Amino acid sequence: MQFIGAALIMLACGMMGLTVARSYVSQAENIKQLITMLQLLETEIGYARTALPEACRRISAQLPGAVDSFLTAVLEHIHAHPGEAFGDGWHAGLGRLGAWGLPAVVLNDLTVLGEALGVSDVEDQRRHLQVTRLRLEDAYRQAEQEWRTNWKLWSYLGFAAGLLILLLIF
Amino acid sequence: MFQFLAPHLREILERSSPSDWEEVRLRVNQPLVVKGRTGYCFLSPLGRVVPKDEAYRPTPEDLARTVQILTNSSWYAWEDEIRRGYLTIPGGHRVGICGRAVLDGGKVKTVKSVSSLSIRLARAVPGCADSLMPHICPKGREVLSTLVISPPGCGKTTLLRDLARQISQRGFQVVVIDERSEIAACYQGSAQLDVGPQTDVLDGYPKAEGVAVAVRALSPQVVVTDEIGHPDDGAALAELARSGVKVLASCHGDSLAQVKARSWARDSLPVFQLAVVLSRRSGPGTVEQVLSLRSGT
Repeated sequence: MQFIGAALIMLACGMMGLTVARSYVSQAENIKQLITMLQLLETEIGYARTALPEACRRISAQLPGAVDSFLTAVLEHIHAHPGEAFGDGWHAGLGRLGAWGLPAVVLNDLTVLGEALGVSDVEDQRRHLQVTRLRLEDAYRQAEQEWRTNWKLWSYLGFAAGLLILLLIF
Repeated sequence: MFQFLAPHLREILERSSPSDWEEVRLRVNQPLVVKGRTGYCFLSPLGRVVPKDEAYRPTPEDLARTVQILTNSSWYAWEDEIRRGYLTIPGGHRVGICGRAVLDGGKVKTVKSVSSLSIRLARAVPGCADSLMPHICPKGREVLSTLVISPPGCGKTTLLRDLARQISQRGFQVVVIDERSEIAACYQGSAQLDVGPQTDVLDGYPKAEGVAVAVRALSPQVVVTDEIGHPDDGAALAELARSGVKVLASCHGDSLAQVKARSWARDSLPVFQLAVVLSRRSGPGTVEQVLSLRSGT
């Protein structure tokens, strides 16, 4: 019985540590996906002159996960509120993207981009997309660094904490 | 059509008698104007025809929101059209855009601060060419090249559309060079207005390039195109005539004499065998004259 209890404590603490460690990985992965989304958006706008809703639909189909969830929310909002600004839909999408544990700086950059999307010529749209992409690349480098620093730490820390609890109990 | 307007403007126009309207003019802080069969009138916030002082005045937000809906929140996707001063939306309706020009090397790069919109509502009138078919397609065996002349808003495009439809139904291979997407009103490759079962539509093509593609690839018997008047049009039409292709085209003007006085007419007019002059005397599409150009009458 004692052995089962000890195993459960170790497992629970270990899993908690691994979950925190995993969150660093997924944060970096999600930022990378957003960078890809911006590259695809730039292609759709700059070369194909695709209208934003259609561009969002195409990109959403290519990038599952956070980007799909975000763009689906944008499209749902646009569909449900015809006549509203695209920026309103983008803002609604960011609400859902917030649940994917992205840093506030990334969400802020995307908020600023949403206000500029679709309201000017191709040249200007490209500039906005490129600036946001550069900022997201910075955020990705930082997230990658955090991931490398903290991943191992949290992976072991959970099990170490479990061990400490066992030592204190027994 | 009114789903393309800002919500408040949409409500006003839907409360009015929209089936009559041919044109809607939105100017920032100026009375809301619509044009019906009897002329221009002003609309109140409740959609009633009222004197000018009681009319609803569109706000800058109304226009900004309308532009945003018209462009599907994607100004860049309509850049070329906006630079030319208008865009054509699903249904073939043409929206003229007026604002502050942004210049680049002396040419209009884009337009910002939109101050007014002029929306011309396209409407198919099947059968409006019935009375002209015996002149243009005598005995149904041949088509005579025809120039339709009228001032703006007299039904040139509507007439050309119905001519294309009827000629196509009689078995002729028709190509529509639809530079402004007004004749067939193509949206995502599909013609929204009936131009006939044997009609190919070159949507958005400049006339000269459209003629080259039509002659090279589509073997038309009849080419239909709207609003000629550019100096290059003469050469394009002459190319069609040399290829044995008949042409149905339109141009702005009050009379044949007025058209003849224009510089481009020297090269273009010899292509045509008939001229049809339209007016609004008894409503849009009133046929004033059918003139044979073979005998010079």
